[in-house]
Amino acid sequence: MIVSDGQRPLEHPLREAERIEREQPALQADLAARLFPRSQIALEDATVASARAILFTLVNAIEADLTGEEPGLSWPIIERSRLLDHPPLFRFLMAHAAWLRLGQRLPAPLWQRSNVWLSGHIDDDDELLSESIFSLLSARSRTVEERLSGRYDLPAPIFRHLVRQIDAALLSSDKADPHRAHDVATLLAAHDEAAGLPYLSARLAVQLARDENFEELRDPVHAGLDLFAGYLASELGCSWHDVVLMLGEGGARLMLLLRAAAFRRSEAQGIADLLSPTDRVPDLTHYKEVSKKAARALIAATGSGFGDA
Amino acid sequence: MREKQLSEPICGRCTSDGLLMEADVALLELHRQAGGEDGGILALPALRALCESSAALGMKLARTIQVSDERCDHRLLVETAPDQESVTIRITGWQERERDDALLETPRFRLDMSDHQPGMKLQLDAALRVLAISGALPNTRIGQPDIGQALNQWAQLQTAPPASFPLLEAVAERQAFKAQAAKVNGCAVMLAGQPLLSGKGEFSGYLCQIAEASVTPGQAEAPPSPTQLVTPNLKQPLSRIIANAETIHGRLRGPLRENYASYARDIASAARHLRDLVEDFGDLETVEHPGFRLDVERIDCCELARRAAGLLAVRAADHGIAIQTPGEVDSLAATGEYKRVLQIVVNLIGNAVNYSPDGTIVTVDAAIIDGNPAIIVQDQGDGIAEENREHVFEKFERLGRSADGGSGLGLYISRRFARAMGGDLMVDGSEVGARFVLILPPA
Repeated sequence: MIVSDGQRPLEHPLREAERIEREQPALQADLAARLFPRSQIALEDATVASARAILFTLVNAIEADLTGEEPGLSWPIIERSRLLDHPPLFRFLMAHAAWLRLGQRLPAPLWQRSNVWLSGHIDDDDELLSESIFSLLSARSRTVEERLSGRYDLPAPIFRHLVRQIDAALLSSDKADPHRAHDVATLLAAHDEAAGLPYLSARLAVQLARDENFEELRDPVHAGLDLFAGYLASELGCSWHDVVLMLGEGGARLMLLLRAAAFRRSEAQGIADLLSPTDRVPDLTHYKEVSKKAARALIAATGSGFGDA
Repeated sequence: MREKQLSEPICGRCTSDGLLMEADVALLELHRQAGGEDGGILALPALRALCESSAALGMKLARTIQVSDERCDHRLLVETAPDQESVTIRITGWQERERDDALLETPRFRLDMSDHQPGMKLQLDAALRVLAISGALPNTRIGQPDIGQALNQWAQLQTAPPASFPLLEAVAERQAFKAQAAKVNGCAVMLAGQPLLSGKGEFSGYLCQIAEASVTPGQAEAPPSPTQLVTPNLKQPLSRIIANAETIHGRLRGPLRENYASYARDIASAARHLRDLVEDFGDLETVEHPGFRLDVERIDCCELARRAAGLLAVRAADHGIAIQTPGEVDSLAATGEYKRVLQIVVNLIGNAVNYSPDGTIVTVDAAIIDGNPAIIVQDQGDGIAEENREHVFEKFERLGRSADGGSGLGLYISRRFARAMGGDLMVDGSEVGARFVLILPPA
């Protein structure tokens, strides 16, 4: 065995060459999928890179929780074995990648206004409202790694799938210690959808809408992106992640989303300019010609695979 | 839309199978308005499905759900937390919305249910109340529900193993359902349904087909067999034995004498053998049960081949065996039960890996053979002599190989599954190695 500088054993060149040869068909398939995508929508390299970074961070965070040690065992196995080939997970990754990129377009300093506004209500007589505000503000102050992985925002079935597959990967790793710091059941029982941005945002949006804070809720800068998405999700009866996906992609679906929520054209233009990628700012020339009812029906029928709030 | 002023959460608790144990007044009233009784089954299907999911997953869920009473629809923000025996419910948001009954009352919305399929059909609204009835069942004891009556007031829903209600799960997901067992006046019936959408694209109920259950009451309530009882209880401790023995063998907890490490490897190997046998006997009983049937759906042979290969990639790589699969963009539609087809293909690839020399290639491909879609698994091992090609599908047939820990049931069970799906499993002549062909009905 050849050993690198005290880190990981290196593959023997003969073995490596054999493996490279064996992987040629898979490599060609990957190339073919990139050259001839099945979807007419081109998948941007940035989305793929973000999805990979999110998944890598998620897998390592969960592995660290399971083993109580420095992670790194399960990722290579997962990469080789397609253990995480799970459509709802991919849908989450796309939505969370969109969420991270939206955050880059609307940087955190702009959210200060939202934090100040919400903090002003934190001593409200309505204890439930205070609790919701406090929970959302706490969720906004998570660490960079927690925000990157989105682990607290994962719908429970997806989190369960991830934990179980990572546990399986660890079992098949010859260095794994089955005497885990936490067993799988404990980790699953600790996951709480009510602590995730999708539910917290929808819940607070409903409470603030009851007190007619519509002007603030309908402004992404004033409300904050999470609460703005929560307001749209509760208003239109669709999932928070689906709203985030549409906000992030810009173009026709963003226009329909805004139309369905009855934004005036000038308001919609402002939001579209603020949130859309520069090459996907929707053309609102025919905004008023789109029936609000038809837009609502289409948005409500968005096939969510999330099952979240 | 009206918001209900909640100064504190509305709470309740139900058992893991949906019996309402306690509830604050607002929740109890809603439960009663939906036809529920105090201490009875939670009469709000979406809330009950959420509680059952939370109990089944053993996880805290938080969702927006919609439930209905006679007057209007309610959108609730609900948090659930399971414990050993019950699920705690916490409602933190409550919106009331008038139902657009005009849409339901429009005559054209009523479905034409006058086709000639046997049995009774019911059109149900979103609260599962009967809007229209067509046809009747030959058994006059079953009778018909009243228009406006809730389905669960007319038919007593029965759980399907393992303790699930297909109808409730389907309502939660707005999906079609089938094989929902129920009893009406003591008679067993089966329900299946397709979701209906209103002109606004919103879920508006079900078109539900009712048929008399084909099994006799004695069969329907037959107690689980010894294998059904024993299999799950054996698999878990065996898996634990394997994991612990492998830990000892790998000396993960520190140095150990060579012979003790070797004993641990033997224990892991014996336990793995025993677990495989338990699984095989469980499957054997399934395929030989008189009422055995599979739920077929549209599947993609190429995707299945890739997934099965992925599951065994690590094991194959340990022997330097490469598994070649269809390309990522390839697709071949067929009909079959996804889980069982995957089980068959995993079994075939597993055999191929077991009986191939190190460093060879196992090919998994999908193709049309005689007009039918097929998945082909070919290895570069010694192959199977022509005179043995039918024997390999016989029960307990090992072809003289007794040292590999198999039960001799894998191929027998796989062929039974394939035939139950309307396909077949064959082995045919090949210049190099064995070539198994799984034929499936076209999509």
